Amino acid sequence: MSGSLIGILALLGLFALIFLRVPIGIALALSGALGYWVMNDLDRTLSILGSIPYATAYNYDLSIIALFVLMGNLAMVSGLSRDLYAMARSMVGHWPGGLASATVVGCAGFAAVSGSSLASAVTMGRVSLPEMKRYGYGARLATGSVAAGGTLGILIPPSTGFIIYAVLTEVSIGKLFLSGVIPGILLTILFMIAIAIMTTRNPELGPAADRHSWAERNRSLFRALPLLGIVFIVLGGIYLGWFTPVEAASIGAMLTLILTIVRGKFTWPAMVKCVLETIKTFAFVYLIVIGAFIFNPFLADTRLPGDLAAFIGGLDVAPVYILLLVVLVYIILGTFLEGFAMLVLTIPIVFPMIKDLGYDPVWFGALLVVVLEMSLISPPLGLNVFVVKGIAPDVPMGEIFYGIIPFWLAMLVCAAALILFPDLALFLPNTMKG
Amino acid sequence: MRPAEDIVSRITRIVVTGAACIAGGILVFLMFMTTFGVIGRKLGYPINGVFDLTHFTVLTMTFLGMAYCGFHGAHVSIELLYQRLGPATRRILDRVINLVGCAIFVVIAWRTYVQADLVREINESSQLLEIPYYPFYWLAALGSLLFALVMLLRVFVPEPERDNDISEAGP
Repeated sequence: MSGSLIGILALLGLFALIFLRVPIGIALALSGALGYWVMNDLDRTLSILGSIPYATAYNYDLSIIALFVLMGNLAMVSGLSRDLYAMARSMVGHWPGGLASATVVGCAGFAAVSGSSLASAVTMGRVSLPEMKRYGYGARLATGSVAAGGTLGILIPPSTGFIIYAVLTEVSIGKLFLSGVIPGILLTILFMIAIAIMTTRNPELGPAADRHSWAERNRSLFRALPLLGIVFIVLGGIYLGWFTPVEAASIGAMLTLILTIVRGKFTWPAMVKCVLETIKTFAFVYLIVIGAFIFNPFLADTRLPGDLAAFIGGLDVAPVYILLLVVLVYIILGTFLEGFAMLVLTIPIVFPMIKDLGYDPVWFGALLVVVLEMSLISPPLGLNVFVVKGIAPDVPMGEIFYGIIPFWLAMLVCAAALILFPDLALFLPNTMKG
Repeated sequence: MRPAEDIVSRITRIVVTGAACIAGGILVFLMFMTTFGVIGRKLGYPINGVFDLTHFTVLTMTFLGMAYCGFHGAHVSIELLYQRLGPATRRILDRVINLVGCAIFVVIAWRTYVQADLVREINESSQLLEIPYYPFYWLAALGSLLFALVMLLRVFVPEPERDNDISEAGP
């Protein structure tokens, strides 16, 4: 049996395990171990199982996940998300659809301290959905803006999506983080344009809320400033080469902790819960990474990724068509695969191909994360939609999915803009110092 | 839940939470150490060995946190086909999955423990602080074994309904 055939069979087996609800990390480890056994012998397989989990965890860069997750959890405890929404609401809430725009801006702000889309959607949804309901917003616009806004969590750094991509591909985490900044801002603006178009066509969807006075606006801006300061220190520090991403994550978490204490929100039970939640998330990510690190070298051994890359590279087709095909496949996969799973399962195959085609790995990371965002709101499994449903149980699922269509299209425009203008993602990474 | 199962569940909860608390303490230590490392470096007093220690903290957090994560069911799984199965089939499937997960982590624990001996023989240690690796292999073996035990527990005591706490688990 040829290596590539073993690789294909292992992938099919892996998908079968995953669809039978085997946790992805375990499915990867099991398929990888069995694959090694078939390709080599039992001794080598056992030796790999004894060394890879340790070697994977003995990793400097993985500490970023724990530290940024801690920072995001602390930001939730400290009530900073409420301040961010209040600031955005006082600035744009009086526009037609302004509360939905404020939600999106609030999500973007929260995304800058949190690496998770789910956390962004939950945190902002709890604050903004009741407010939008109070002003008689259409359920579609209200829930759609939270579900879509939340997805900014994995595009605007820090982002768990970028970290996993970086760990799997050995691309610089700092560069990847910076590659998400401009697309993140662009997507926020595109979401706001989508809201403006929706409310222009149907003003009843998002009636204008009360206009806040300038004094109120300044007050809300002042309250949100510390968080914005932390974001600037963290991202600015990485960009200017003051510190490594790991150090930036530490400083960000420390500053958020200090802010939590200063604001009187620090309690020991809350802190313990925060830390335990962080450990849980960290271990959860690690379990996937350990599986990937057992499976991926095996897959490379089968030569399937290399053969596929060589085959695709040999086709008489312009690289951009192959890229578009890859994006299309990701969009389709995103309708039934969870984002992390999709990333871990596809990167070993897709990444060598993309590199062979001459595309920049940092740019592709940013494009991939935008496409992952689409998967988070795509039916039937869009996770963010389920999160929003949890906060607004009275809104039917169909309504929420209908409501996300304009935002989904905005993401498509963002992905297209990234393909047409790669500098949107590459400008900051290419000009970063250090 | 039967009394014996209840006791085993409770003991497991205490052990995995205790391990996770130690991991949490190490996380807080990591935050302080790295921050003071940066401040020290900027002021011209670099702290030696931060890089080495960060590696060990990540390793310790990972292996002491895994069982806690497994106990609370914080893992990604796809439920598309699963949802179409009958309750009895689901129960059997859950047990088989946990048993398989347990088996693979028992093997990982065993081989990591064996690897510890090899590492000890050749006296492998970290570059800067020369901290020997083998005790951390033991720790990794222990953490993997604890995770395997949690999966074994789930073969007999199903995972309770998940709470609605939203952590950052997930993309």
